[in-house]
Amino acid sequence: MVNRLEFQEDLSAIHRDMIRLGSMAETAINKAMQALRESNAVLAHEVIQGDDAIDTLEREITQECVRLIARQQPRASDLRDITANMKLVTDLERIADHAEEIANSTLAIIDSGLAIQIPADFHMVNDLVTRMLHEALDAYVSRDLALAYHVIRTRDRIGFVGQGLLKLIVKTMQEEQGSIPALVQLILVTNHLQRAADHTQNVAEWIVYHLRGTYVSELKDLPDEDLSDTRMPTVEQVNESPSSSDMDGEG
Amino acid sequence: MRKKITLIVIIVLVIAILATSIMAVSEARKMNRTTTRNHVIAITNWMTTEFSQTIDLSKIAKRLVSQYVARDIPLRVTLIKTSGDVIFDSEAEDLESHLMRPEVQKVLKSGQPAEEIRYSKTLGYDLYYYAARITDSDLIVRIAYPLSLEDDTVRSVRTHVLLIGLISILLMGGTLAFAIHKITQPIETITESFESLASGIAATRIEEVHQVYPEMRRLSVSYNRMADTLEEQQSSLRQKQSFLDALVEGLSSPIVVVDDKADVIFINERGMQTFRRFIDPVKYPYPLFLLTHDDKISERAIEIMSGQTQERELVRTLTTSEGMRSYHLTLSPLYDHRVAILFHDRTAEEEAARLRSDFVANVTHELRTPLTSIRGMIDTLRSGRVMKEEQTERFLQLMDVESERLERLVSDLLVLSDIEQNAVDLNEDYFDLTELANEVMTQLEPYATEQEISLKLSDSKRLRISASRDHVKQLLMNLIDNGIKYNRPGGTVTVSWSAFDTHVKTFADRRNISRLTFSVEDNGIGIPEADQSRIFERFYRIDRSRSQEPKGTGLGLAIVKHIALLYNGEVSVRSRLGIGTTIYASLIIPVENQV
Repeated sequence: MVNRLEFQEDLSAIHRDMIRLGSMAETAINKAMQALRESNAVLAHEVIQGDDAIDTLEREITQECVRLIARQQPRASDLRDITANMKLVTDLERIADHAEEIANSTLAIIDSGLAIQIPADFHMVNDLVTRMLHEALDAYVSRDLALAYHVIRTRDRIGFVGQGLLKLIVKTMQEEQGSIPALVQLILVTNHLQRAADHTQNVAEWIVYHLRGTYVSELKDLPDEDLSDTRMPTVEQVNESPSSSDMDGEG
Repeated sequence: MRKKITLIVIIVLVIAILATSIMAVSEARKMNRTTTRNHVIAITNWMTTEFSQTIDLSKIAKRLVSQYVARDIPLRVTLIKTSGDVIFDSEAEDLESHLMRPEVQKVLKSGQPAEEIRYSKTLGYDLYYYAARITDSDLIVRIAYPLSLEDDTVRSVRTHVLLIGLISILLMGGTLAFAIHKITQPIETITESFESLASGIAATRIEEVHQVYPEMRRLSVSYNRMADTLEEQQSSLRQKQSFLDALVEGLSSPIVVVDDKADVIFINERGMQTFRRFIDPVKYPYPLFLLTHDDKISERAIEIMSGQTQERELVRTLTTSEGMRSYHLTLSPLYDHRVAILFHDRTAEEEAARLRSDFVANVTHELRTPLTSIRGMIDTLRSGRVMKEEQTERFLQLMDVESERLERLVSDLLVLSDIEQNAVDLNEDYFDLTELANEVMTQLEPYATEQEISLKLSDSKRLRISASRDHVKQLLMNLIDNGIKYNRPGGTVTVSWSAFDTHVKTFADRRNISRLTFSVEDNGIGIPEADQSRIFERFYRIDRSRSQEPKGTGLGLAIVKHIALLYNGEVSVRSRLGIGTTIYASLIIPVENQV
């Protein structure tokens, strides 16, 4: 017989840890991107050092999930909850790993001593990814299915902007051959950002799985976006003005 | 309750009536039997006495029986010999020996009369037998009197008793129901009032005068008093609540309340915006970490709750929707293991503090540079080294230049602080702007000639303006001086102005308020685009490395900006490298056209 109370407490402890892990991953990405923007080596080092704590927390959460399954033998939605968390935890940890890689690239750019102009589209990708992760966490906390779908849809937009960004960087390479070492790092960073976006999409998909019990790929089409949801006006503004790069002042 | 009372009373009543009727019936029966017995004994005695006078007892018996039968009483008389032979029976003939009948046996044994009550199978009811021996003979008279006769009386008694009982039950029940209703009615009214009070509906009041019973009246009075108090408290609570709500929601600083696990349980609108988390914490509690991404705050909150620390202030730099901001946090413990956290954004304060200290550092630096060179030259002159006459002369000249620069710097600083401290006097006298411009240009003419610059006043409207003449003069002076300083030899500085109605009715007397814009154009070296936004900052100089020997104090345009701001105006710059610069400064002041 499953001890409901104990089980619920353990499960909510896992949820708390998950939110914590997600916040840490979000901080890591934000800090890494800030380090890149400001050429801040100290901040980049901070990100790299912070990854150990994230790895530890990931292992703890996984072990706690396994322990909970073994001891309480949950069924139905409880089992789905734990399973989704076990998958989510990996994705969040991977996002933090990409943040670490971005910090490494930033250090490489700083070490190269080359001053490169970061294109506006790059800031846009950066902004979309951080927003996506932010909203994915919101969706996790508030069990918001619509928001999870919204996050999944954002991924396509990032892919689109990312393609244009790559072309732009290659063009800059041809024009300023001296900056190639730094620009290569910028390409890597773009790639890491896109991978982080992939993992964020996974996070959203696992949230959908947890809430509905279906895989997103099984749904032929994502449900229509609820336009009455005005909780994310800033994202809509991003769509309207794709060239705007400075969004920090909004909100 | 009402039903219960009624039921109990009716049960008691029924039991009482039953008991009464049973007792009445048994009393009636007992009385009846006594009567019957006396009657039978009387008959028997009469017969035994008759025997002595008359011989044929059976005849007497027959007459007796016929008399009784006529009255519907089936009396039966039997004459039995002591041997048991029946010599006469009023109902049957040739009966068997009655020797063994109990009453007969009793009479034979004791010689005294005996009685017996027996059920007669043939007749179907109880019979009362009385037997007595006739004195001095061998005859026994036995009389059987039907007891069923007496039952009629009993039955009628029973019927009456039951009838009366039923009527009294009905009467009692009715009265009782009415009485109970009278008692429970006020209780019900009070109960209903309590119920509406408990369910939060506007509490009703009980009308005390309608209460008959003093106990109920007292209860009603206290109920009304309680409802009054509750309503008062509720409305005062609601007032306080709305006041707090408005305060918390209207506050421009985020407020977060956390529980003992550092989970957010309340956040105001401003907090949601600042941390861009629009999750209802009541529905979905989440760790504070999700908002702040900062462990220190959560740890401190838990420490305060567990009483480990009294330190309630904390300064943290947090990532918000407005970028990195510096916050001064105040953690206040609430009741029941909760902590309210107020986030005070002090980024602007820190920025102001930084600017202030920058300014002080700049002033110090600017003052020290000329002083250092003056001290150096004095030391050289004092060292007593033999110097040529013209060398000494040059040193003195340089010292003169440096001290002049110091003087200018100090006077500029004074002007700046004067502008910053002074408010505008709205009722300044009108003066002729063209005249002032000419005055300034005449003053600067020697310096311009020296720099090979020509000054030009374009054909601007002749205006009379109301503002501090000193301020406007300082503004024009600095603008033209700036144009001369950063010009090329052979260049020109052109001064012009224009005025437009603003329709601003800020002044009570509705004078003609205009936006007066000065523009001072030079065709000098121009300002790089990156520097254009900063030239109005104090001590900002373009390309510090190359202007080792700064021409001005670095405060000229800052003073222009401050004068413009003083008059609600603004400054702007348009410049192209190598072509020239135009600086605009506008003031919003009363302007009159020169007649």
